[in-house]
Amino acid sequence: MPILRLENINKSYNQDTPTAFQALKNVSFSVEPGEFISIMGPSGSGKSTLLNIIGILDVADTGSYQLNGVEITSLGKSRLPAIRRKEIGFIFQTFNLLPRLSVFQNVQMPLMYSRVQSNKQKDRVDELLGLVKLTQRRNYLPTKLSGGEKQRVAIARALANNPSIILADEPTGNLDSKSGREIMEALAELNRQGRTILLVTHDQNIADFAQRHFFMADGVLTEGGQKS
Amino acid sequence: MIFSNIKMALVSLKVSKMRSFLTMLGIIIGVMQIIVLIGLGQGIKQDITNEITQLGSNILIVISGKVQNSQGGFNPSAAIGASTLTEADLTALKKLPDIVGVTPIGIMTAVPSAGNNQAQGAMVLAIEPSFFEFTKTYNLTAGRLFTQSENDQYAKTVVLGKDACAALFPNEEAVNVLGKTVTISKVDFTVVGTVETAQTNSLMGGGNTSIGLVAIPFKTAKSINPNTQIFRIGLKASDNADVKVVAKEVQAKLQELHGADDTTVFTQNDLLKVVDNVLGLITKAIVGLASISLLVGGIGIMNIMLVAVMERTREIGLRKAVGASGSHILTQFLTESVILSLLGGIVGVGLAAVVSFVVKKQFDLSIIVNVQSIIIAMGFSVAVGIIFGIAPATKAARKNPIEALRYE
Ligand SMILES: Nc1ncnc2c1ncn2[C@@H]1O[C@H](COP(=O)(O)OP(=O)(O)OP(=O)(O)O)[C@@H](O)[C@H]1O
Ligand SMILES: [Mg+2]
Repeated sequence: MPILRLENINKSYNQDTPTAFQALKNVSFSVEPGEFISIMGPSGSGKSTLLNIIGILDVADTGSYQLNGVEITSLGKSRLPAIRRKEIGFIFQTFNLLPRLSVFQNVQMPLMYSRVQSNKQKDRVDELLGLVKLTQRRNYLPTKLSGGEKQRVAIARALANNPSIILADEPTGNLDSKSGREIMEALAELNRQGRTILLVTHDQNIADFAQRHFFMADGVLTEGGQKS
Repeated sequence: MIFSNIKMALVSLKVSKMRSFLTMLGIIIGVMQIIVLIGLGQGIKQDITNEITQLGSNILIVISGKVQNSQGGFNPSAAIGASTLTEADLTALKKLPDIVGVTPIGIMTAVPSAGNNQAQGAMVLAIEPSFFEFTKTYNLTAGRLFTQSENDQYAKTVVLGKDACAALFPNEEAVNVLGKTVTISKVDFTVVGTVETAQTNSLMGGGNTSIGLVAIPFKTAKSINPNTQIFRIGLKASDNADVKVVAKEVQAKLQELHGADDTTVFTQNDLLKVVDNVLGLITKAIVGLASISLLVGGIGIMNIMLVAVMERTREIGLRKAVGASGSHILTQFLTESVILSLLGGIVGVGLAAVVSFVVKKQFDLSIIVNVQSIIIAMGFSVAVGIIFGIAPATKAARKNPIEALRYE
């Protein structure tokens, strides 16, 4: 069974106004467990829009979206945060660490929302920090970290609840090429351990870390290794 | 979750300490006011209650006029005006079977003087020596009280209260005042004793009458000025009598004598009830006023929380992206506003303790700060935090995560 299956997803912004804009046009694709997928495409083509729908931060206008066999489009709004918490791990271009919280507390946050017991939270965070090699930075504030380190904190946070899929939107966009490669190697390693990863990027070199490639243009998604 | 919310809230408040403090100011002042003012009310009530209880439960006080209005409320203005109490009343009441003691209290309108010194505002009481048995709040500081035979013989003796003494004989020790002459209504009186009291005298209906007290024998006063009125009558019921019943008997007797129901008989319980009523009302009014500063404080909190929600839009988006539900976000911001107002409340309680201490020392007023008023004040501040935190917290909870994450 695929982890997720999208069928004929359509999404418009500012519907029924003069500025109406269709960002996704009949997007269909599915992701099997353990896959590492890249989506490339020019700016404004709809990549983030798609990722937001997959991450259940947004909902499609029409079409079907199944996550682990559950039809998300038919669920009530109040059910969505719990699914997002359990199934999705986000990694952003701008890291999005909370500046007032330590590295430890940032990684801990998804566990708190999942009501994990507090002593288990501590063990899990330490395990994750070991995984991204940041045990030494445990009590640092994010402002004291390099860009690469920040993104590793974000990776640890994305993994906290052991999600079904990691959604990474330009994870290397704010990093120099060396740190960018390090981050991609970390993601590749996670994929080798069985993690399913969906990566959005502009950069062909970054996309090459993935095994399956998609291309997005004007809201239309096509499979295949077209160069940007 | 609650615990981590509290931790989060404290972190946020610590980031902008000055802003948090200024926001709390309204709550601090409101809570301080509530505690101090309730404490003051309780203190006054306790003082008066103590003194009333000192009178003894078998003491009755008759005053001219109907103080109780038709609804049973308190109508102090009825006590003002010419008194309808007479010496005939005294004699008649003495004869009632359950009455063991009767004392008249009269007032002379005169300014006592000694040499060039005058005791302005002093109250010249025309009383019988038994007065001092009715109210044990006077302490003799020098000399003696005048006697029954002095009263019967129209002796010109006077007992001075502390302040009257100080006004008439400045810089004199109480002992040295004995034997000196005080002129009242052009008649010379000899000082036989001085008294002092820390407490007000409820026989006189409150007010700090004891301080300017100038007491002369009732019969002497009457002989100097036949118009001297009986202002109050103090009655002592026998120990085994039911004061309530005695009060009714007295009331009935006076109605029969006056041909009209124009007096009020107070028992100790009645007086306590009046004090309770009046101070209860005053306390309510005061708490109402103090709530206004809490209201203002609450608006301050709402304002700051709205700013905080704005500033932390990205944080809200991120939290939602990692799985926070609307109610998680709502709880987080609500906790923050409650913590803010609760901290204000705690500081307010501290400030109230300081203020009460200073007021006690400086103005010699009793302020009773009890657990109850602290709980009330804290309850108020938590309520303010919730009521005024709801709107900002709801706003935070409803933020669209995608837009929030894009927010710069
Ligand atoms: N909230 C919105 N309201 C209106 N239009 C929007 C909104 N969000 C995105 N769009 C538009 O939808 C299109 C797709 O946006 P999207 O963010 O998905 O692009 P993208 O492929 O992620 O671009 P980039 O590579 O620059 O991140 C863009 O033209 C964008 O202007
Ligand atoms: Mg994008």
